[in-house]
Amino acid sequence: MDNQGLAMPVLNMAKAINAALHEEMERDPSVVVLGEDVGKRGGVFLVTEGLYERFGPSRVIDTPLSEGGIIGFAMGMAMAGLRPVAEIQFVDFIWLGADELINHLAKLRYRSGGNYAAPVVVRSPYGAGVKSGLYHSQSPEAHFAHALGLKVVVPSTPYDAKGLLKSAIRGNDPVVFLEPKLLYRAPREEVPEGDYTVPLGKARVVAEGDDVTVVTYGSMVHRAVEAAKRAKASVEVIDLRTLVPWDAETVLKSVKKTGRVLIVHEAPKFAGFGAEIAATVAEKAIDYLRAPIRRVAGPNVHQSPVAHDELYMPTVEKILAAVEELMGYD
Amino acid sequence: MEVEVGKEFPARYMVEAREPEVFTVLKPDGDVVEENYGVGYKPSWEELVSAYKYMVLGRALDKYALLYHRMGKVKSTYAPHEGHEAADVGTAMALRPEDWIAPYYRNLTLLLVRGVPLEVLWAKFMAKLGDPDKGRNLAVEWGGFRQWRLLSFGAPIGHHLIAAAGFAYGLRYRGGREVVAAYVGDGGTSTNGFYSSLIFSSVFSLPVAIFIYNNGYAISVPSSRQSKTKRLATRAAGFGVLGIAADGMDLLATLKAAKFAVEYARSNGPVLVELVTYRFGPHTTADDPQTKYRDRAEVEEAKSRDPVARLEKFLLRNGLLSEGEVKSIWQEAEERVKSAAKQAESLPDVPPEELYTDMFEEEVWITRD
Repeated sequence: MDNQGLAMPVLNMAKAINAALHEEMERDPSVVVLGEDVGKRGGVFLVTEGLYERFGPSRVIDTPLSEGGIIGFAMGMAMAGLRPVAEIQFVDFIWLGADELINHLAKLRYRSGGNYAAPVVVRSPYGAGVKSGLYHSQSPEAHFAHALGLKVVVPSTPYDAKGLLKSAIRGNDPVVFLEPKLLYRAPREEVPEGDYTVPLGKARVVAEGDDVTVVTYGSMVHRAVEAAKRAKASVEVIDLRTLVPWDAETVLKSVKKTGRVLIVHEAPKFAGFGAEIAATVAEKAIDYLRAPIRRVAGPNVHQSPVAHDELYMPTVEKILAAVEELMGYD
Repeated sequence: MEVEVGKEFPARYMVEAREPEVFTVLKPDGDVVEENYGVGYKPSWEELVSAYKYMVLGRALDKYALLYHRMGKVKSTYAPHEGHEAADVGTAMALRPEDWIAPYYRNLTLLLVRGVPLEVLWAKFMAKLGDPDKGRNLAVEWGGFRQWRLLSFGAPIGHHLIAAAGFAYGLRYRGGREVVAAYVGDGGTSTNGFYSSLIFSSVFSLPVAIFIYNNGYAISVPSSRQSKTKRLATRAAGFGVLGIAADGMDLLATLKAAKFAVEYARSNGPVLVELVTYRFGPHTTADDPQTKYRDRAEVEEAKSRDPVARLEKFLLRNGLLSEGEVKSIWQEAEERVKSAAKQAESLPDVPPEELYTDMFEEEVWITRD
């Protein structure tokens, strides 16, 4: 129980997202869920488990196997006043719906002069580290960010996942909600039963420190926190939680304090979201820097071969080494 | 080995597409095909005269849009729709006012029947203030014409068909009985949007009527490169959807087929209507068809089936209009088009500020960084 008497079950991220979907569908009859296997099967990661039994087939919709179909259909539903939450089974498959997502969903409000909006949430598991090869491991958040009309959200904890998903569903913009599949089952934490939201666009300072700022999100947050604990230096860890719009204010404030910045993500380093963060820091806070901006990210290869899945991923050790290197400048 | 269907392997285990005939009512001389004249919906004389007036208005608008484009006043690429007027008016008249339309880019007269004012269309052509899309799209991309129950269209072909299916799901979910009429060219029948729309709307039994304007070409590529069947309506069969083929240059045939299709969709689910037509002009103002991919003779033959002339002959023949009335309908249409253009010319430009609006519901810092 928390101090208001709410139950605080201990949940993993999959269960927390499932709770958010249950509560939002209960609260608002215009919320519907659609995707491949989301109905009776409850989703391949069981994220939509129990929704079909509770809300029935007109609100929990098993769709044909067509990602373009799912996203385009969801856009039409939203234009008619629904709030669809579409699941793309693995984000690697989203490219079959790239036209619907990037040319249409992202541009709808702009191209219609504000006369149409499509509040669609596209949920999808992303990321490597589970030995799943080139088509169940991708981390393509930078592509979605560059589309500009999409909000891009990447939770790292069960609590945030539930609160961020509720904000995404209630907002009137399309959102790509990327769920780190590495974190679906663990860690677990106390998640309040019932209503709360976490606002989009606000980062969370996970650990405070004075020497180095580590900016990260999603699957890499826990590795960064572990590295911060083990580092000799005093490390501040910022979990962005939202990439579009990302919380530059919190990042810049921290960088101005520490003078050193390390960006960590599992997507390939080249043209990754880290490049945007690095450029912004360089544009707005270069005078405060005591060391070069550093990135620890996936190598610039296809994410990620089964045989080299572990080798591909940024690790606590790689983050620690970069922190040490940054501390070498003064 | 020579393989013959039904010989080595029994025909009862096989399925083949059956090519339908093309439903026609009006002959080129304005006479009617008697056995088809009585089929289905019987429009009143007033409706037919009104249909004719819209077709003339659409053609006049096309003519002046091209003229103004040459003068540099239509800001972006324009796609003339001459030859499509009967298909536009016949299908639009088949809809109820509460029904929705997912237009494609060669549907200008359809918008006129829907009640979009000429002044608004000119504002759009000239990318002026008063364009619902704030001057962001090409002259014939209908982005935000929501107040006339038009869904949003952007140039990549086919996507709007799957959005139309989702929209129909939303309407039905909320208890409505409206139909969504969706439009696409022959080239569009090869797209993911076309197929996903047929799949989704058929498995969910949605009230969607898809109208294919088969004008023979996707820019320069003939429809034989989109389908091995002659009739694109055959594509419905594999989805368990009803397919219909009608003469899209024949107002009466289009209207009768569309009326049936729309009411069928309302009660039974999706239907696919191929309207066989022809585009008299180029694909767009950036295209030159006469010299590169079509014979002059072919174009002239199609023009002998001109939808406006056919209905005009029918109306004259039946004494519903006189030569004098026809003349004044044309004059009035041209006057209305020109006067609306003049009005639009005096509209202010879209302010620079609008470059940054409508990215999100509430502005985010990134937009102006």
